[in-house]
Amino acid sequence: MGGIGKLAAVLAAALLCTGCAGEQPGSSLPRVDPADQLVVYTSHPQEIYAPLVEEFEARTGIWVQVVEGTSGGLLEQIGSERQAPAADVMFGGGVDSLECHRDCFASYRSPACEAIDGEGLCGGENRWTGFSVLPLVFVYNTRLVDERDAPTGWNSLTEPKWTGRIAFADPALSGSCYTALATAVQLYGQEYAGALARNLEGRCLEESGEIVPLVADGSYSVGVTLESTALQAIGEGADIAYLYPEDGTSAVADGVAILEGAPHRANAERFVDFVLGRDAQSFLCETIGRRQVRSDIPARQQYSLESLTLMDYDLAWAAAHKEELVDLWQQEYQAGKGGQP
Amino acid sequence: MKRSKPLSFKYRLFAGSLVVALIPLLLCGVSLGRLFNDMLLHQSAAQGAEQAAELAGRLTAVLQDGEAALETVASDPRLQRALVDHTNDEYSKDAYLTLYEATRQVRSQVGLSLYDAGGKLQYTTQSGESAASQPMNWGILRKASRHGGVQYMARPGQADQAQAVCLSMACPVENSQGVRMGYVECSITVGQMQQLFAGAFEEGTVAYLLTPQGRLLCATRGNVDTAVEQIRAAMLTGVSPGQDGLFFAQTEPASGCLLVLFRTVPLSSSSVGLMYTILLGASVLCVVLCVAVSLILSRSLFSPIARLSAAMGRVNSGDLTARVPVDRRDEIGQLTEDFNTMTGRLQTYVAEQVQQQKDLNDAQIRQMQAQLNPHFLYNTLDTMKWLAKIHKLPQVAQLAGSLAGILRWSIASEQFVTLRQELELLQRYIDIQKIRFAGKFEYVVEVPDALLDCRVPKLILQPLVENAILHGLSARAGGMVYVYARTEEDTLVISVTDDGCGMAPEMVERINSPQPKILEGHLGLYNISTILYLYYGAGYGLHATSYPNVGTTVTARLPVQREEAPDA
Repeated sequence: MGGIGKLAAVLAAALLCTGCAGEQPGSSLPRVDPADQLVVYTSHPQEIYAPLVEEFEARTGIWVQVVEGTSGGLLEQIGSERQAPAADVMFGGGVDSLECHRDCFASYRSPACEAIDGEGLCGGENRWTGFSVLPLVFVYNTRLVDERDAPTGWNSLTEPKWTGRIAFADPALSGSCYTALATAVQLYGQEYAGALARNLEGRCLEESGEIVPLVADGSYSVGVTLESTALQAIGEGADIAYLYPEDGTSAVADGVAILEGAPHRANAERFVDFVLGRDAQSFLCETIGRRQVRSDIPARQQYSLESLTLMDYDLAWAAAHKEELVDLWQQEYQAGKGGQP
Repeated sequence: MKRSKPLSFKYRLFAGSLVVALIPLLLCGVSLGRLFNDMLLHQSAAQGAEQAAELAGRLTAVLQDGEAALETVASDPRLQRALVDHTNDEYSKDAYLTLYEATRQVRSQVGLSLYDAGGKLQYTTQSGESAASQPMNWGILRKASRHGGVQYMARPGQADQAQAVCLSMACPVENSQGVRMGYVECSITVGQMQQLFAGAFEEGTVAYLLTPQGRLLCATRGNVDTAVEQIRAAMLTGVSPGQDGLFFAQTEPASGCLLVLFRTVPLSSSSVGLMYTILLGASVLCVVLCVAVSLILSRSLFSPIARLSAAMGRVNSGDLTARVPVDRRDEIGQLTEDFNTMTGRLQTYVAEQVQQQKDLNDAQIRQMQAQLNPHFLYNTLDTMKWLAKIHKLPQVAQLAGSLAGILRWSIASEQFVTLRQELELLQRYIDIQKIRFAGKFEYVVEVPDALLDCRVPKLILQPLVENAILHGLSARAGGMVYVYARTEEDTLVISVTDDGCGMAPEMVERINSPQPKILEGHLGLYNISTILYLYYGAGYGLHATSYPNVGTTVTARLPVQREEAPDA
């Protein structure tokens, strides 16, 4: 039996050898030099980031790897990856959210900042820069709500006639809804947060992306969203209309920031320079239909900031009181939910 | 124990045949499969690289044609004129004519468009909807305006729309004074590109045209977004695209676009699976055959051995007639035959032994018959001796005394006596015979003292001497009987010689034959011969030499055996 065992071992070895001998040919995909790569986390929809990224690639020859996500999720990921960042650039997300995570970002002042002079666009210590200005608007379903009945200001949203009919996302998860909440609280004080939370009657949404579709399909009557989102939905033929709150809206920009310890820092700087540059900003304004941040590009008439009432939004306050406000919101929201039968 | 032996033999046979059959089968099957797979893979790899190069070559050729068309158009004064004044119908017709002429060679493969210096589209040969203008600070026109010459721009993201432009090249149109009048663009739509690639490869192969940064321009198949993402991720991270196939990449030199060809592996996993299933089936068959062969072989070996073993058992218990029929010509048959021969020999030998014993018994019975009423005879003789002494008849007394002595010896139970005792007995017999044949013969004994203690069977000399006296000396007086003993090595030789008339030749012959028959009237000689043979076996016995009227010598040969301990 010992002899047979030895024989078997020899044969097994022979089999293994024939197994190893055949080297796998093919798969001759070239490897991209890491120096030519860039990883971008973005909360922008594809319609916005894709043309920019493609043009950037064509101009620089850099391979851009885009990771999509919600601004909250991506910022959380950036926070957890702080020791070894997987990404180079955070593209998108309100600058107030970026300000909350300022420690994760590297200070970089793009040459383009010379042409950006808007309030709250080049953030503290240059750790982030505004990319486009996003005024908050109210949307309403034109079939359910008459133009005359539509809410006119932030205080209209706490009225009983809108109880359970407002599409609003959890400010803990949605950057834009937190901005909306902070705007209204800055206008009407802390009590407003509780009043609005209770008025949702437990029908709060998870994601701000759901707001416009759910208003358009009649699940909700009114909603709070960004101007660009509303414009895009109207462009796609949704039965909604939007208006700017009379009592003042905030025009918080979404930003772009380079991560501290970014693996491809030089490429990241080129990307930031590109998206803040004249070409990209005018493309943003003319082709995509978003408010640019540069002052050296003539804005289209409908996007002129003079045509709407802006309140003086305190970014630093909003960042500092986020936790407190969100906690308050949660309590009141649970109370409003508990009041439900 | 008895059961386990054939079983273990069976298992060993099974294991052996399994090793011999199964392992080469597996080895051959697996290595042939791998070899075949490798060969196909290499062949496929070579083909794939060739096809990728060929596709890239086609694209390059089209782009070269496009470039030539661009240069022709850009330098055409009619187009420059049309760009300056596009409201003039004549100029417009001229412009289209020029565009069509320039693209005659590559009409179906590319489209030409003419933009004014502000990026507004003026003329195009591309069918379908085209954007009315292109931004001057974006895309192809920016590149052409900034760098001059022919510039390329890939436009990803619309691979599912056949009318969409996926690759364009443009160059500025300048008049003879170097003033920029506009731009001419040569564009290739997704549909045109797919047509270009059509028919260059077999089914199962997919060609992807990617931007220099790996984004999809067009593919020869729909729904490839995931695949392209995997390809791009593979190029970025260096990990395998995770698809059951081979990739071949080729860069088109003019535009920098990447052409990636995907070929399914020549042996799909299902056919490899089938191959291994067949191999498994063959292995199972092999195992079954091995079991069958080892069963048959072991049975054909074991059953004759079992028969042989049973026959041996019978022999062991005493049945020497046991035989095993020989029905085969191989080694087992040989063994069976040898067994039969051996048993036959054993049977003969035992029969001989029995016969010998029987003969010995007969001799003893005869001897006992000769001892009938010996005590009565002895007592009578004793009485006679004493009566003769009383009546002063000394000769009768001696006769009776000697006869009684002989009789006592002959009825004694000992089978062996010393030569000395035998000679004493002989002396008594001679005494009697001398009285009977008063002075007719002389008797001489010549035995060395050293031999007197040798043991000999009782009463072997008396018949020899009697024979010499009765048959040798009967006819004449003054004869001589000579008893002589000597040793030849370990053999005691005792001869009785007379100088009588001699013995008949046939008698001599009979005595000297190895198996003497009963001699008529010579029972004594025969008995001695038989006794010697039975006691000592072949090589010992009687030997006679006789010459007529000279004399006869009868010699007894027996082994030298000394008297044992005194109590014997």
